[in-house]
Amino acid sequence: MRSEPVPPSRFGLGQSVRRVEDQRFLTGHGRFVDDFQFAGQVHAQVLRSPHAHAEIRGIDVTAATELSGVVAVLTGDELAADGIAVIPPGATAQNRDGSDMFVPPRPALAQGRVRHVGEPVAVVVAESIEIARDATELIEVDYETLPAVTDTGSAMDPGAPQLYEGAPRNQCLDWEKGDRAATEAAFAAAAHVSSLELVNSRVVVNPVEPRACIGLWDADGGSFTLYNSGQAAHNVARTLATAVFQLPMERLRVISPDVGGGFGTKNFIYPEQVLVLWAARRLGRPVRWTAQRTEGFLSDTQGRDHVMRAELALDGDGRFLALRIVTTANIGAYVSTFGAMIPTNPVAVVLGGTYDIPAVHYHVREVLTNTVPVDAYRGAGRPEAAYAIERLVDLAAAELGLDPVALRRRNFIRPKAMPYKTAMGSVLDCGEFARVLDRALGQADAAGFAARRAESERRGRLRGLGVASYFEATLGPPNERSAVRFEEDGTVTILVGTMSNGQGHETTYAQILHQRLGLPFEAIRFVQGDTGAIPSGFGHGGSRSMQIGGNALLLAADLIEEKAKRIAAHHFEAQEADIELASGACRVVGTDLAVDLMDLAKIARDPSRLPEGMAPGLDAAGDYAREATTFPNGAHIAEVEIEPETGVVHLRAYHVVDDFGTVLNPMITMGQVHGGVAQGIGQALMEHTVYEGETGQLLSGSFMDYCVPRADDMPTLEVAFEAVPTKTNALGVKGCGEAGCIGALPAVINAVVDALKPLGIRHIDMPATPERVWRAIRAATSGD
Amino acid sequence: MGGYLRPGAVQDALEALDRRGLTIVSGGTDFYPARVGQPLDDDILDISGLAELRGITETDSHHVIGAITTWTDVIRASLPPYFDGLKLAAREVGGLQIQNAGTVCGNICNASPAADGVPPLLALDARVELSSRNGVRSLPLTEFIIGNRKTARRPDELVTGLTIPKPANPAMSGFLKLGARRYLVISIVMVAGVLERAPDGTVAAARLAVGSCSEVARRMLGLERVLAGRPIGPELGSAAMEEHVELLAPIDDVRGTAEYRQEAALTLVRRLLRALGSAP
Repeated sequence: MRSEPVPPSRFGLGQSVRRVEDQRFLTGHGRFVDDFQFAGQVHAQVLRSPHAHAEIRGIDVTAATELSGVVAVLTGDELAADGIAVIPPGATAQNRDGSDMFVPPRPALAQGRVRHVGEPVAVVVAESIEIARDATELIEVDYETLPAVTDTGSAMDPGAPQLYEGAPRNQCLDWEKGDRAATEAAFAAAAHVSSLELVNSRVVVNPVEPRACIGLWDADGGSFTLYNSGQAAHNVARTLATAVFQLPMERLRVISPDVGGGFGTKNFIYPEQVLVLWAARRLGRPVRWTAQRTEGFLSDTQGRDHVMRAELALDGDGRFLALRIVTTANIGAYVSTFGAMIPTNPVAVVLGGTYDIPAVHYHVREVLTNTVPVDAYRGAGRPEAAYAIERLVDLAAAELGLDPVALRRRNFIRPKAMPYKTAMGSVLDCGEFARVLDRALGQADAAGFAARRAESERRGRLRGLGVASYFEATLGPPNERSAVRFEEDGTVTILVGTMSNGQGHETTYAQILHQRLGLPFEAIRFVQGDTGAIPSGFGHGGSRSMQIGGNALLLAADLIEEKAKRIAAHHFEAQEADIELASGACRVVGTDLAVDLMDLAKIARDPSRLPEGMAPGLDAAGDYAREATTFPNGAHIAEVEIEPETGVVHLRAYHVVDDFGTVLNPMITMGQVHGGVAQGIGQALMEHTVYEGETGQLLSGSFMDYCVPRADDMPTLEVAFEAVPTKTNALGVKGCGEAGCIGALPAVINAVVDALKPLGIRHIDMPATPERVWRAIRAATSGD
Repeated sequence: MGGYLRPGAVQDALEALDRRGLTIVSGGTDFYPARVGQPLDDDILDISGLAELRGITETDSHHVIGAITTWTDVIRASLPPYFDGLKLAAREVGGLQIQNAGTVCGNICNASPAADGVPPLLALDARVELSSRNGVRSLPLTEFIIGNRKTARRPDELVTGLTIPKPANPAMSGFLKLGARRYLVISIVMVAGVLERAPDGTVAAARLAVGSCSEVARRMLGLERVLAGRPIGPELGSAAMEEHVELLAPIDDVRGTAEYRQEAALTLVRRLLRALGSAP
């Protein structure tokens, strides 16, 4: 029997339990890929293209091969000779005419042509990383450079350089969703149309731990092991095994240990993963690779990069009639794992936001350019949708002389309209958008804004208040299995197919199990990210982990309770109906007969102590399939002050009220919001990805020029939760990981534009750097 | 790896320099970033062991900043108010770790157009002390930095310190910087100034300098002449006119266009003058 039962409230759901993993991270005991060392290991360095677009006329590796300590120098020729297949996309889409999209082949090493600066051309494997680096400099590549195109808006221009014969005008997908005719009709009948060209700017993701992988080959078993700093062990294993190396999936194990941030970027299949495995098999030695920061800038998938024409039709009463969006999405030089999918449904699913809009049409053309491939980045499609509608609503309010908050209120989907089906087909089960916004307005003291603006004016500053009502949908694969294993040493292990890469899952999953079964919190262990230990999994992405993995864990707990009660009934020779589970023990109702779950797990191992025919063991696995998409939503309010002389934007206050449904751990959730908002603020004000037009060089290729926000760039982020729990899953959760990044873009830019509105400025693109703001002010005030 | 020498006495360093050209390193905060991905094959003279060159000393007429004095040393030193601008600049050089390692003299020897230390030192009328086996010479900072990453130092010379004259009148100073963010990023424009107050409350002398807007940071001599004799007050800001910043020649780059830099420079000069004029 357990001596000291833990009060359930302390580690239960709804409690801000401190992250158990932080002890490890903060004391240097985390184990990241680069911390794993193997006997006989060798080091890989990738030679990358210095050109954005070029023919490779020849590669001379003689001098590199001869360097002492070099084990192998491999190029695209060897890759082809060994029959290593191209890296396929994980998802594609169909064109409007029903034909398949164009997907260019993506070999792990360039074959014949390079299409972006940073593309892998050769790999050197050597006894030390220093030797490998020296050797890459000895490789002579004869390039014939070609004209490059990097700009999204002009990639389809008739004269633009072409990347592929199969993609005329560089277009690889032409996709639409929604009722075009109904939308056109609504626009034709509208009293007012607000229209905006806007750019959802490209960002470099920059997780603090760079990408890293180690390839191992077991010649006897004919199987690979890949250590990978990743977010989706099973998907990486499946694709590399079955598509690239043409092996059964069980012959490629992927282990993702502690991961220092991913934000989507580490979900994907990358050339370096192929290279370390392939080299390990050729050489019979472990091969390791860790990106340098510069390599991250030149080869980690980047985010966003949409150019949109967004239009909103309103009637004479300011009611929204229709929304029309035409997007050009730059997906880079190749189709990354989910790169082609992100600009399609993940945008469409939330298009129209929190508003009742009868007709919506979305048309997106994806273009291939001489840039690093673009793929899912925190929010992945939903920030693009939220930014478009929230900018349009503010613009419409300005054009019609309406209060932007009043215009939002007039058009919100009403709680009594739930369940509500949007024009894009999404079914909302709940959401109280006006209530959430009202709370945020109170929290931000919106009523006092006029006085604060007047005070700023006296100091020669322009002050603006930006409101955004963001609307998200949890996405990602709909299935997950979570398992619970009772260990011989008295601990309990949770095994999940989701993948924490900083979200605190070790803590939150343990809270769920502790709350549900009363197992001691300290006895709960956590395993993720290992295809050898976990039979199936779908990893991280789409703010899905608690909704899918968390509910799967509840199902596992249901099975444990059911079996534990049967064993306890047998044990006490009682009726099963008389057994109750409370505080981690099964007890015969109305007696002092009780047996702890941990003890029941021991009993369960002994077939002689079980009912006839019962399989031994108390372990269980729950399989959950998403019953309905959930829709996290909320209000962000940013307040800025602008120096008109320099264009410098000071973010003075930032308020968030989120409806995430049930909040499992408020502290961790708040941390997720803080991080997301910081990334959103970074994109909105600072992070500027600049490719030089003619050469396709990434000019903002280091932290010297690519400006990520730091703590001193942030105001205090005031975050509150206004929960409207969903009934579509047992936990009542809606998902929280991406939300901060979704609300922040429109809130910040709406605030900047609100400050500049008195000068007649109607829009400014991200990032609103001092120079951009200054130019906008100057153009507005010089009378041009 | 080339040769490496770390003498403990200035004389030894000068003798080594007299024999052959050496790359002089102290904190190394500019040296290493300039060689990322390249072999370290320079022959190094590491002067970080020349303890006699560390710190700020005072004579009747001058302050002397020794060659290996770090930014942190400057921040922590007890100095008169006309050093405030240099201290403010010191706080914005990289982060704390860079301030602990990087030196003021290294900053001027590196001669980057965006060197944080140069505008405040120009405003302080600093002179550079160059020592060699053949003796010591002293150059005004304006003659020491002669171009983008070019100085007047001969290969046999070591910068042993900076001398800063004491102003004839009570003086105050300031420093303003505009960058994509405040710290750990290269500035777009920076402005430093020293204002001397005559007994009658007018400007006895003004020295202003703008960095990041030309190959070498520039003194605003025309504006300084205009300011002399004017009553000290916030309206000093309006003395700065477009013509005064015309001597700047900023470049276009990913951080900002020339046009923006030119305009921002004037704005910052005005702000600095307003602030200095309003100071108690």
